[in-house]
Parts: sequence; structure tokens; C-alpha cells
Amino acid sequence: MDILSSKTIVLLSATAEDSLFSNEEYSVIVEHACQIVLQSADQAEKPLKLLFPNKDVNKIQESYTGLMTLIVEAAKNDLQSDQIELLLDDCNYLPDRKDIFVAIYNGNKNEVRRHLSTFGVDSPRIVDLGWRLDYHLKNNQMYKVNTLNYSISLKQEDGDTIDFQCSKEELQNMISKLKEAAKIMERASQF
Amino acid sequence: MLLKLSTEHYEHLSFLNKIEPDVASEFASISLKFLHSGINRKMFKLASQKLQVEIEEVENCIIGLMQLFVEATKNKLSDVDFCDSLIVHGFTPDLASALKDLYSEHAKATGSRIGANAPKLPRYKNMEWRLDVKLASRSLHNQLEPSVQLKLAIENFAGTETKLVKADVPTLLHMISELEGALTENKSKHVQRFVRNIS
Repeated sequence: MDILSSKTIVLLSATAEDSLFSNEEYSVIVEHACQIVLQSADQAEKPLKLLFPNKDVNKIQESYTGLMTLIVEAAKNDLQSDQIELLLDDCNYLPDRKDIFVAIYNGNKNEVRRHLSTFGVDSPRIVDLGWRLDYHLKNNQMYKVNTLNYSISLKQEDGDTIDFQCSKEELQNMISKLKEAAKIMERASQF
Repeated sequence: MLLKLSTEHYEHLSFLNKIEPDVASEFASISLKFLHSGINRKMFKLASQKLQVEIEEVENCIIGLMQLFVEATKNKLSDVDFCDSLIVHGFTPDLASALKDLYSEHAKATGSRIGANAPKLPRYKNMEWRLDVKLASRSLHNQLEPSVQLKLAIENFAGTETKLVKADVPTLLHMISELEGALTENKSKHVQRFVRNIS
């Protein structure tokens, strides 16, 4: 399977030409494209017209499309510099422009990969937990209950919480299971 | 502590003094059965016909006994206190003893039935874990991300709910240390002092 579609290659080939962008302008575009991929808000909101007032808006948009596709696909497939350079050769890139792209890409590669890893199918992630110790004295059904009671709240990434109550013994049971998981995890990481 | 019966309640229960001891015991068993499985009005009719008394007297007596057992269970009355409460109100020691035996025999079952009506907050039932390593996804190939999947079974008023959540390694260790902190708090002087003095 080809990493880039023929359409993308056409779009990228347009960015190879000096006539559209100088090398300095090209650097700015590539860096900006990386920021947009990372969805860093302040960068992404700058209207393209302000950055390049003298150029054809459509051509600029096409350039961004091509470059962002390349950045995402390169990060997704964990391409090395030589593999990227081969791809850029297919787009008729000159050596200095290739170097510019590879340098900027490598600078942002880890961030992009980390950002891409957040997408996808997954159970909600726990980020924090809170606990509370109560003494249940009585309720309107039983006038004498007198038991210790823990309330645990597991906080998820999206802000939702999972709340439940448990006794001391149930808490101990839960802790021993988690410790077991941690021990196995540690053992597995030593391979 | 001793139970205090209202005048009306006492009047209903005083019917017990007019009947044979074994009939009284039977009434008590019937009342406990009603507490567990609901009231069966036919029993009132049968009993009143057998004893040649008004159906109302039988009904009040049995319902009075049910109320007596419920109040005693609510206050977690000891056997001695239960007995004494009855004797103080003028019931014979034999009757009191017979009722006490039935009370203590069914105390746990009655207690759990009453407790089932208390406000039900979600309770922890079970937890299972699974170790996973994420190797790739559609948006990113060549990954290596270990994580622990937790399946929590939580029981609330609607039944048992299963929640599936994920935790990475630092979060897991953080969870363990926080929960252990919670557990040790249980043994702190403050908590122990409170529990000792209040119960």
C-alpha cells in the first residue's frame, strides 16, 4: 500500500517549486502545518490570508493539505528521514527543501505521534481518585447501624466520575487486586 | 434500652394475654411470616373463627406483633432488653420469653429485610483487571503503550452495573498509594476514638 495517494503527491509537488514559496516562506508553512496538526489553538486560528497576503489562497490551502497529509502519514507509519526523503523525491523536491522539511518534521515528530495516539477506540481512562471515610450511624429504616463506610470516587479523563461505597474489607480486597496487577506489570516490563 | 409501646399498641397486644400461650406463639410466628412475605387476610378470618373472637382483635394483635418485632429490630434490641420491655408492660415472663426466642431466631432475616429499604447508594461488588499493551491503532502504527483494564461491578438500585475503565502504570500506582492511605486512616487515633465512644 502506498503511503501517499497520487492526489497528495500532486499537491506536494506544487510546494516543491520556488515560484510559489521561497525557502523561508516554506519553513514557516511547514512549521505552521505541524502546529495545526497538533491543534495548538493560537497558531491554527491565524487566517492564511494574513500570513501570505500576496499569494493565491487556493494554492496555499492546497499546499497545507498536502503538507499536513504528509506529516500525519509520516508520523503514523513512523517513517525515518531517508524514507521521507524518498517520498519527497517523488514529488520533485530539491535537496535543500527536502532538508528543511525533514528537519522541521523531526523536531515535531514526537509531539505529533503522541497526539495521534490519543485518537481511537478505548475505554475511558482514570486520571485520579478521591476517597472519604464515613461512619454510618442510622437511617430511617434502622435506628442503629454503626458501621464504617468508604466512599470512593474515580475520576475519568472526560470529567465523569464513577462513585461507589465499600466497607473496609472490600477496600482491602480491591487494593490487593490492584497490587497484584502492579506486580505483574512490573514483572512484564522486565522482559 | 427498653421499648416504649403507645397506648393503642399496648391495647392491641394485650389480646395476647387472653389467649393460650401456644396460640400466642403461633400468632408471633404468623406475624414474622407476614413480615417476610406480606399479609394474608384469610389467616385473620380463620383464626378469629377458631377462637370465636372478632376478626378486628386478631388483626390488631398480629399487626401489633409485627410492629413490635420491627421496632425491636430497628433499635437492634438485645434479647434481654426485648424481654424486659415486654415484662415492664405487664406481659407474663413466659410469654415474653417465647416471643424473645422467636425474635432472636429471626432477628438477622428481619434486619436485612428492613435494611433493604434504606437509601441505596452504589456499592462496590467486584473488580477484575487485565494487562494490555496497545501495539497500534488506525491513527498510529508502531505503538507500545501498556495499560491495565479494570472491570468494576457496582451494585445500585437498578441492579449491577459493569464499568470498564483503563489506567496506565503511574495512575495505577497512584491509585494504590491513595487507597492504602485511606485504609490506614481507618486505624488513626481520631477514628478509633470516635468509634469507641459512639457505639
